[in-house]
Amino acid sequence: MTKSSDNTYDVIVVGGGHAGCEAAAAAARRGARTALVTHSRQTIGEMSCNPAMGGLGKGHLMREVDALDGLIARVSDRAAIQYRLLNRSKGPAVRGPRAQIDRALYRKAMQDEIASIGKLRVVEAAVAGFVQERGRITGVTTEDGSQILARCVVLTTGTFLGGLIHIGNKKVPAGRAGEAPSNELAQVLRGSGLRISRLKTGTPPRLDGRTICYSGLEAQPADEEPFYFSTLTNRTHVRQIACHITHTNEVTHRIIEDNLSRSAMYAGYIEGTGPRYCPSIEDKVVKFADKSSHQVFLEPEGLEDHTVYPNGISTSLPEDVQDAYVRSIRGLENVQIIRHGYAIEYDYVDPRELSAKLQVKALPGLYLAGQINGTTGYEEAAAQGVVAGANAAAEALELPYLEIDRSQGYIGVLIDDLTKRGVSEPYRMFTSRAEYRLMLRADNADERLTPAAVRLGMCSSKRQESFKAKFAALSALREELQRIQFTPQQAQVAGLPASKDGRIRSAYEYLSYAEVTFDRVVAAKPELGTVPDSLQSQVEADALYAAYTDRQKAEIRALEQDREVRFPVDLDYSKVPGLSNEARQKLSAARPANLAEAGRVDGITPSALALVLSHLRKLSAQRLAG
Amino acid sequence: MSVVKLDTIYALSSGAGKAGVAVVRLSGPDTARVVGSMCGGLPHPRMAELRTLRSLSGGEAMDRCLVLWFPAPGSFTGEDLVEFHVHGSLGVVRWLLEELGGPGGLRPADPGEFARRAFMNGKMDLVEIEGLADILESESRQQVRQALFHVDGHASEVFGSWRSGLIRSLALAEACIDFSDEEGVELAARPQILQAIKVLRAEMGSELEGAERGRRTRLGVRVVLAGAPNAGKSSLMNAIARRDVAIVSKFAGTTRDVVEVSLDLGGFAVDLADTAGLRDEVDSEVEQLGIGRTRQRLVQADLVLLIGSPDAPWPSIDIDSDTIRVWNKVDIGRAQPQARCDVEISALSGAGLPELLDLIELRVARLASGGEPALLTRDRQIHAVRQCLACLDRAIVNESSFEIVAEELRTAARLIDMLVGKVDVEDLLEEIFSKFCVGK
Repeated sequence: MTKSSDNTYDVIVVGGGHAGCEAAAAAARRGARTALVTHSRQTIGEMSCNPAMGGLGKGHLMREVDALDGLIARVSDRAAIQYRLLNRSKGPAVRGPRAQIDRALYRKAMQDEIASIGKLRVVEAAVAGFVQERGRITGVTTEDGSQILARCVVLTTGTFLGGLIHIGNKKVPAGRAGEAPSNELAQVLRGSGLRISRLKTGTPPRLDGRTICYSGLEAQPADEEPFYFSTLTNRTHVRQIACHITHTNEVTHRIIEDNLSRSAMYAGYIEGTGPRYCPSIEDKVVKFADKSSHQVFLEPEGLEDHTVYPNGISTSLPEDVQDAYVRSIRGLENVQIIRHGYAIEYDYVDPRELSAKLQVKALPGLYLAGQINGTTGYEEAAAQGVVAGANAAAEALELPYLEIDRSQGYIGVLIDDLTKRGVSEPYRMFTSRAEYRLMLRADNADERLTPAAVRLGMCSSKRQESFKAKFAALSALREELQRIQFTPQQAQVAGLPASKDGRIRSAYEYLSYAEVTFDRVVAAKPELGTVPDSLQSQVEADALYAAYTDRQKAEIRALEQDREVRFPVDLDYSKVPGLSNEARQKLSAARPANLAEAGRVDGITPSALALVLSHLRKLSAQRLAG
Repeated sequence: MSVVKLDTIYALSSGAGKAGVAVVRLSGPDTARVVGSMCGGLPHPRMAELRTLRSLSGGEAMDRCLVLWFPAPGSFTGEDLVEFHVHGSLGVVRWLLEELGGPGGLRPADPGEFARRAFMNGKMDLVEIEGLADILESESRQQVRQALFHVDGHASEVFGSWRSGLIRSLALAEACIDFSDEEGVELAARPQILQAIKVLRAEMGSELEGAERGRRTRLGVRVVLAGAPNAGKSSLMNAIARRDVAIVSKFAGTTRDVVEVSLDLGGFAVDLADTAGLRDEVDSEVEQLGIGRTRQRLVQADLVLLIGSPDAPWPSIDIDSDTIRVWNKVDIGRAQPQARCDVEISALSGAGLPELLDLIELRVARLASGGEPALLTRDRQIHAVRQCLACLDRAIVNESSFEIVAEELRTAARLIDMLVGKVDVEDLLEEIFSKFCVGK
């Protein structure tokens, strides 16, 4: 291998966090020679905030990354120490798999995965800027002055861009506690003309679990029947433990109120916007003054690690105040703080600068994924990583792109929301963001997305085979359930609800009744008893929502027709007669590719759309005439 | 999808035929240019100015007229718009329209096109547009009041408040799903959701009940005269029509068919219909046919005037509709009514007629939206609210499944959006705008 080819790749991924790992792995799965460039090999797969994966909406994202043969779900399964399916008592569409994760095991499993990928090489370096050629990004320069070249670059720098940690009135430039930020790179990006602003997020103090008094605190055990993140996982790898719950109290709140002026956030040191749904304890005390107590989850960071993450009390108060308010909490009276909490501010690029491929529109060759796009959370980062990595490889190797529609997955919702609407606070996934929620369930992510992964050649043969087998069994089961029919008398004998209209109904129709579970159908037809639980619950959920999904599918078809009405890339909205200034600005900024996208641009009315359409018709008439 | 035409349109906006004043309206991007050259410069915006109107072709004076110039966006259509108030003669109007239709690129407006442009430019929502159509069709005071309620945006306000109620409940349901691991969220939200849905359900339900009254006000209350042959139905019809009621139209039917007049009774539009006499034994096939029609009329009637008289007593029939029992021909005396009688009259002498009219007016007011204008007056609106109600019913049944509740609330909110024309309106537009006359 010559020196130059040694430093030349198809795809470079900058950053070894959750977006970076997925991006590098996805690019390599598609056959791209890929370099993962990171400050330190040891921090690949680091969980810099809470030691948990998944949750509502987030668990869905993980299942989808898994369906695309990504890493996050199966690596999490190697390190999960407390599985809990959230909303277990609610409908199947809104159940979210979640688990506490052993951070060290996670890092180890992720580093092993990365090391095992043939086309992927890890390069330790600090990236300082880009190599550009004729307006295209063709590589990166490092702080030691060397160059690494590639056809495409994926930037996944998390909170490292211009990262600034706040504790009280102390400010420390850092990307993560104890790690240097990427300030040169931040300067380069700020100079590139992209719209860049600041966001903030926070993290709580870390506690020494050996100094916590757990007696009398409510324990939250792991689920007896774990719901694994990956469809390839079939056993629990690690011992399961319990978390504990404690509460803040009036004393805690008084300490915080008395010291508000010393909080970085409240003293006005921070310019970035923080997330409303993940408020600091200062925010909670001020904004919900009528609540005298807030929940605090005590989450162990690992089986061999005595560090405990107190979820619910992130803060930017000075150290002495953190010591005082933490020790006012029951069970933490004598606790030792291992590391104090802090708020971190960082640069993010307005994600409306990106196409649905996560490619920077103004800088060809450059892709962005993760927190740099204004999101928060490991799962959101990983989801973008797969898409950016797969598409960087696609561009480099001239392969088809990976684009996921809102009707196909939460990943589609995430990317569409980011690139069309932008963000005003760190963006987190919720199930309510998905208008096709009843179709986009955690249990059917593989059915929705694995075929695309197979088509794009980014799916291992192991997963292909397991998916093929499952899909065949599922199809057979569905046919079987349609075939099994009950006359009203047979239904009555079998203990199924009596049909009032005297019509013959299939077993599948009966499953669509909220009160008819698969077990009741099995009671009526014992030969169905051998069907595996996972298939049972998936078919049960399909049937339960059938009436709604039929309607949604009709809506999707209508949208697809609108999508066929394409807008020219160079459409000049200032030439559209009658269009209001507001609509003109919004459409010019959003640059929708078709009628369906234009309809979803914030504040665009049907009348504005009609004006654009009429203008387009006129243009095409002129083109024909000319 | 229909095409919004962005050329400049014109139309005679006042009625056809000779009149003191005729109004010709233009709207669109070329309006300023046309006004400038016809009037020798643009008048002050929104001020009535007297100008000499000159032809576009040769600058020849066509008329002296009032010009009202409304630059965009402060106009009915949201575009540049002008009104020429010219002398209402056939000659002036015809000349002016010919000039406008000349080679200048202007185009006669399609039916309802001015209103369509108002809608497209966000000047009016769909409900307001429908109210406008009703005002233009109105024949009675109550119809005007009801239509104004829609044009002025009051109806849209109610729909808007329903929509925000739905969105609020939706947000609560979503909180129960996405923040279920937060203490107390579900506990606090769950009863609120059910309560809010029930309140909305009740409001929509009561508006649906009032919808029939709204429809009667909009289309007229159907009053039918029925009775045995020779009970004096036709004379009563003529007597009513001769009195202080304005006959709006009169259609003479074929032999033994139904005869109708439209009246304005105390501000309400009333369709009064005479019918063939009802007899128990029928001789001819033709008569049988007539009686069949009469019975059909009676089923559809909002109010039946059942006429009896000493020589032709009330027939023995069951009527479901609201009924006034009238005893006619008191002037020929003798026999007294054998059954309950609401009013005694003589269609011939006019005795008792004022009392009968008062009674009809009272009943009509009750049948139509007495006083309060109805929110729902059209099948389209009624249908959307019924669907909305069905969503809420399903949400209540599935109360414990938040994801289903949320889906139903989302659908209900979208139905309201469609009602006021925020989404999916294209299909409706053709139908709605086809109800308009040119230039209105």
